[in-house]
Amino acid sequence: MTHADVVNNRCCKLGEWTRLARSLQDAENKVKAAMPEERKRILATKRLLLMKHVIEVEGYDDKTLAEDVMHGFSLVGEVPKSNVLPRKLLPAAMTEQDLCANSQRANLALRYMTRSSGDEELDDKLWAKTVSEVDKGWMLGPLQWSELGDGDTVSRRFPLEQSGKVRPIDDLSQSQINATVTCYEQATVDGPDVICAFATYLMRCLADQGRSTELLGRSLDLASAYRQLAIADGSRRHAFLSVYNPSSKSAELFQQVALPFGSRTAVNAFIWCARFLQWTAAKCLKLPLSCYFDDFVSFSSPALAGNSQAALCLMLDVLGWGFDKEGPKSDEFSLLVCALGVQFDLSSCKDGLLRVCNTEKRVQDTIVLLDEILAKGDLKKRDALVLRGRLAFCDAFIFGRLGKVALQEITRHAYASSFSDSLSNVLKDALKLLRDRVLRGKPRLLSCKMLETLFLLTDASFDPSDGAGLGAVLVSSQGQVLAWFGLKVEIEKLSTLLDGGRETVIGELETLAVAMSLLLWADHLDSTQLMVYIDNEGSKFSLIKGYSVSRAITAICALAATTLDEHYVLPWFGRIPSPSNLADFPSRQIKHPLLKHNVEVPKEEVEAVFESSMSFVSKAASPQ
Amino acid sequence: MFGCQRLKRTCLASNNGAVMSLNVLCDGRHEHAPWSMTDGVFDTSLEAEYTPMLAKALATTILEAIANEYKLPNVVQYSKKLKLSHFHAIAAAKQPTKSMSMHMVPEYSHVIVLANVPYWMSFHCTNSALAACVYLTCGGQDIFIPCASKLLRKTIKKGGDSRLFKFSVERTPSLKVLADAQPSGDKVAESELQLKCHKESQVCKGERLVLEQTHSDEECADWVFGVRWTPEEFLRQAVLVGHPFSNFSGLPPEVGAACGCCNHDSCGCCKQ
Repeated sequence: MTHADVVNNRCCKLGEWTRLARSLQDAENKVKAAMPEERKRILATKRLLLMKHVIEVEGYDDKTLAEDVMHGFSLVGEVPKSNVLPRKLLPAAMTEQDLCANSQRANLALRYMTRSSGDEELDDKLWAKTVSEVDKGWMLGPLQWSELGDGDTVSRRFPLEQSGKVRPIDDLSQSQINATVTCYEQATVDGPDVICAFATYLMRCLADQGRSTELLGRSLDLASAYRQLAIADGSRRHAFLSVYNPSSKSAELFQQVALPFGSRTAVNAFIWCARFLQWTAAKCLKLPLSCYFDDFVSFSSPALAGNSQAALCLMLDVLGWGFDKEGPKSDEFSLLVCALGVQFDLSSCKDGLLRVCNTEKRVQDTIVLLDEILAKGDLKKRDALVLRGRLAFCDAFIFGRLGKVALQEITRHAYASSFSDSLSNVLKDALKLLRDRVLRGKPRLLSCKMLETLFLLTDASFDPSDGAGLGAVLVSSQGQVLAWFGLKVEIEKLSTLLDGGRETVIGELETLAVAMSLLLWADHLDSTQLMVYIDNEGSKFSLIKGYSVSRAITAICALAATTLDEHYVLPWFGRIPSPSNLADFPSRQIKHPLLKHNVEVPKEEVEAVFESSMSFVSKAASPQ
Repeated sequence: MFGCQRLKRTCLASNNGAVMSLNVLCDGRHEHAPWSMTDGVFDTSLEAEYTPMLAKALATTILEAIANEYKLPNVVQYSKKLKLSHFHAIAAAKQPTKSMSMHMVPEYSHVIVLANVPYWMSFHCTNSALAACVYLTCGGQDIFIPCASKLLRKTIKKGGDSRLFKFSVERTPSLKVLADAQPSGDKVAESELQLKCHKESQVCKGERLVLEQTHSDEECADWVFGVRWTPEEFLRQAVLVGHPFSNFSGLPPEVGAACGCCNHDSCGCCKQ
């Protein structure tokens, strides 16, 4: 019944828009007839009056978007406010007048800077791409350099090789066109986190209704995204490009008509349109989508998937937005969605679980890269930082928190005060661990189930003359104390932590109290959401990040992370002020009415866990 | 106007238009020290630093602008920027590694501000914590400040102007207030939270203070106290706010609504 309502609603809406598009066709033709030929060609398929109608009737907040698309987007000056993106001011560094005043000399310099990339094949591909863009009507040229007028600005086009393809980049930063732009809004996109959240939220909605949580999904790419929008006539003077011609071995001049890849305003302009499409699908067609520039991801229950597929395609068709209908980028609703270099496996959604992992290609590329580095035995600073970024992205989609510790070793290598290219044994081990995680690590698992929430309060005290105290309290979701312990530790037993003449080890002890609690109560914690409350900010952030500058704390974090991973515990580390901390009492061997004797963990058990934890820390933290 | 000894203009460059509210000229109702050179040092160097009053005014202005931008009620609580990506991460079951200004259970249950308290009236604190509960009576109003409350700020104001005694008590919200996936059904319970003695089960020797006059033109002070949770209250509050992974959708409102609508039997928004 519900699905039928959704389908009926979509049919009504799309039928209404289709009829409206037909009736508005004459008016649409008149609007286009008034446009310059180049802009008309770019916007030929767009149904701008229908877009305007949807904005007005359905109540979209960016009221002027249809007019903005119609007139094209400026490359310079103030970017208008859309009212749909978060506010963030990015002021211009120079005025358009300054840009124009300097343009003649800058253009001349840029013309002579336009040279070969050093790779003939790359130069040929860039030139071929440029010529094909002229054929598609996205730019004009080649033009004569003498045709440049006063104040016209030229930017350089260079090739960027990505996954075997050549992407032309128009450097509007070098030509300072981007420096004249003032943005009042931040162009936000929905990354992999949002896609994960989207799938789990949809499953939760289904589960709340007692329905099956089975899902199918698809990704959708808008074809030649930025090129579907035009540059405003007033900005065309700043849309000149200098491109290296490998035949004549000279710089050739072109003029852009479609929005360039490399312009600051183009990013905002395109995001406005993409967010409009996302909003229209969600609000009018009850078709939820995530939006990452030109990549959209949709999930649906199997019963609605066919209709969602048709409705989404028809919505884009009727509004005149081009998307990949065939070829490698086209997709249909299925159990596997690949988007943004991440694979979303929906095969366990019926059990309320979403598996997220790296795509096969990313895994293979990363393994090859790591093997090369390990074989070579050295890693330059710049390469280390690039590698860290790539591995951090990969590791985010592998189950468990141990990768964070290994990633920290790459950071240590890159920022070592006396830098050496060669790989240390510790770094080699870290790279091997990361390689193993990328190759064999379990996918990240997200559950829509409302897991039981438990609360863990921990505390530690330290006195150089008297030793240390550790305490923890485990509390049920109803607020009942399930178990607690308090342990007094003699100063001699802390020699591992006090190495090197250290006077206090409170950070280590606070972190240790958490790790020990996890080990002691691991069976209670199986598949739960755990709120860990700590009164030491340093320990809290070490546990969140998985590492610290102190090797001992890093080792304790690794111990805690291993227990959390093994028992599939979803932790959140929060702050508790000391005067409010119930665990403060057992850490100082003070009684409290809430801490009943019958739920106290036997002292021998706590001592055994303390000994084993210290032994682990001693081995892990010793210099290698 | 911001406490400089000498008449001096200050130029601020900012990308936040809110600083324009600081654009005031001297009203000429006070005397300025002369500009000169003492022991080979120009007075200009003595006036180079921002005065504490200017620094505070600038910080307050920016904080208020941020609070206004994000439609947040409590300026101090939200002084660090909340990012959209924080909520995306939480919705995807990841705790953001960057510090968030809002805690699941806030540091203080309430913030009590006592403004223009006569200078002779003092609150006894040990290590910045109020030693005993205070029962303050003024103009028919009773104000209770629990023991162990932390003294967050004390600002002394010079006499000369007639000032009215004022007080305010504000609840400090938890991160759950911003939840969108499961609107907290516990808001009523939260609003009912009462101020009470920090020692709960023990007996606290409270201190009674009476203010006969509601205004004064003598030297006075503003006192700001953060009320601590008792261990029992903290636990109750922690249970109430639960775990954040269940609370956030990470989705734009319309997308979240579409997810709910597609699968909701009783949703009437699709029915024509």
